[in-house]
Amino acid sequence: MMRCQRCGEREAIVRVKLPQESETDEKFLCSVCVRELAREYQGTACPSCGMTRQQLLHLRKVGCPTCYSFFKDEVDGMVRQFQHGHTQHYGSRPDEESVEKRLNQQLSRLKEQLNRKILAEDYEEAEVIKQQIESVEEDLRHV
Amino acid sequence: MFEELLQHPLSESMNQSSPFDDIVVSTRIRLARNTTRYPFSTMLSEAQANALIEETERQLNGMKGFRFGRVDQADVLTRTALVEKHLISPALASHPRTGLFISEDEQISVMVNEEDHFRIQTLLPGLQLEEAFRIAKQVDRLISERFKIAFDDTLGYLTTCPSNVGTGLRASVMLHLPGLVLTNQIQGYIKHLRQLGFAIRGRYGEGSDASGRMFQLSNQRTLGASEDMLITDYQFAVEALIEAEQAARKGLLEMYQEELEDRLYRSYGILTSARLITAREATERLSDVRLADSLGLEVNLPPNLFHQLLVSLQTGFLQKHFGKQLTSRERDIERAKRIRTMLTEQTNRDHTQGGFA
Repeated sequence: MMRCQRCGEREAIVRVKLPQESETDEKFLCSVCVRELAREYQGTACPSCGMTRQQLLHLRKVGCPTCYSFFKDEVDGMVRQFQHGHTQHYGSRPDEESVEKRLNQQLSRLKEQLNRKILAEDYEEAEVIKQQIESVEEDLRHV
Repeated sequence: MFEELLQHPLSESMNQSSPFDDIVVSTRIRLARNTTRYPFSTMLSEAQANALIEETERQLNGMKGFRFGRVDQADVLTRTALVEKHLISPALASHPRTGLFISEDEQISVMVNEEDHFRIQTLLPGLQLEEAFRIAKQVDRLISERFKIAFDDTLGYLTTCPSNVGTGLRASVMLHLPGLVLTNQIQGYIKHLRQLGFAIRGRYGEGSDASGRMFQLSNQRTLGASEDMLITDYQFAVEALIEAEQAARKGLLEMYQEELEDRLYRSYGILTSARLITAREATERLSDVRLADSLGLEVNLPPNLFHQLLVSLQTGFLQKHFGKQLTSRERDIERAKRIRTMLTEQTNRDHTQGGFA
């Protein structure tokens, strides 16, 4: 009889590869231990939102941004399936600035430059900057 | 505020003539977004859901030309009619603790506490994918400046369901495809488009099967290409369908002119005379008359009126207009009456414009 490698008492009846262990080593377990491990595995919950692995696999949805990394294997599998094998985002980002914000920043920079040119009595340059300001202001009216 | 939205089946901007409106009824773009400050809808508590709605109301209050309302506090007829007008999704209508920000021209809806914290939707008449996306993106930027958005460098925008991850972008157009249906080609196209990664379903009174004449085409994948690329691919699919539909209509007219004209004029006769009509029959007959008009027969049902009727004959909208729940028999009577009235008004308009006086 081969003993269970977890409890060391009962007879081992299954050979399992545990998901957390990256090495290829497999364990021989008894029926009680395998059920306990499975429950533990299924019951593992995301530290941030509390969603369990079982819930995640049942709903095929996540509970928070952390789930994407905490349940990486499961979620990556779902992503590949839903997204026809694609795994990389190429689109826009939330930190991109809005046109309005960019133009407003540009405007305040230009106004500062204008001030400096006027203080330096560089009226030719000031005139150029003034025109730039007008053009940005015009753009702002269209956003 | 929902009462105002339901005064008319189409907003003024939806009631305009638009690109390809002979075939494409409307274009919708939606972006799915979540903030990192709250768990996603699957794990969101009642208190958190209410807090998110309140915070959104506070943050977006400054948005010019937008109005806000609690959808969960509206009655069921109102919610149904909002879905029929495509201003909100069926999921938003059925979820507890939901809110809606909507622009005055009704082109932009920001749904709060749908499957994701925010669902930004733009709705335009005809085929206008780029414009719809441009507007949605503007609203997206406004929201991104006010909330920390859940985003990952590899996976892009993080969503409750991994089917929306990446861009969170779903494009969907509603198409009127009587030619492909009458020539039995539609099933082939549905199969083909599914293989190419697009979902196509029947719409309006027919459940989700494809036995009707109205179809909704949407992209399935949201990851692995930029928004522009996704939209370009999608546009190709829509254009292919439009071309196929145009060819089918032409072929029908060439091969079966008498049969086709007979069928279409009969439908017109039924619509102008019926005293009781089900939503299903009304949709099919209206589709016939719209087809007849587009083929140059002696009937007049312009795209915007067709669209208006499609919305206003839905059970929710019909009852909302009537101000109370109706039995199915009462609805059939009311529906027949509305169709007769609207078609008569259209004929009168044509006569005045046609210079009969």
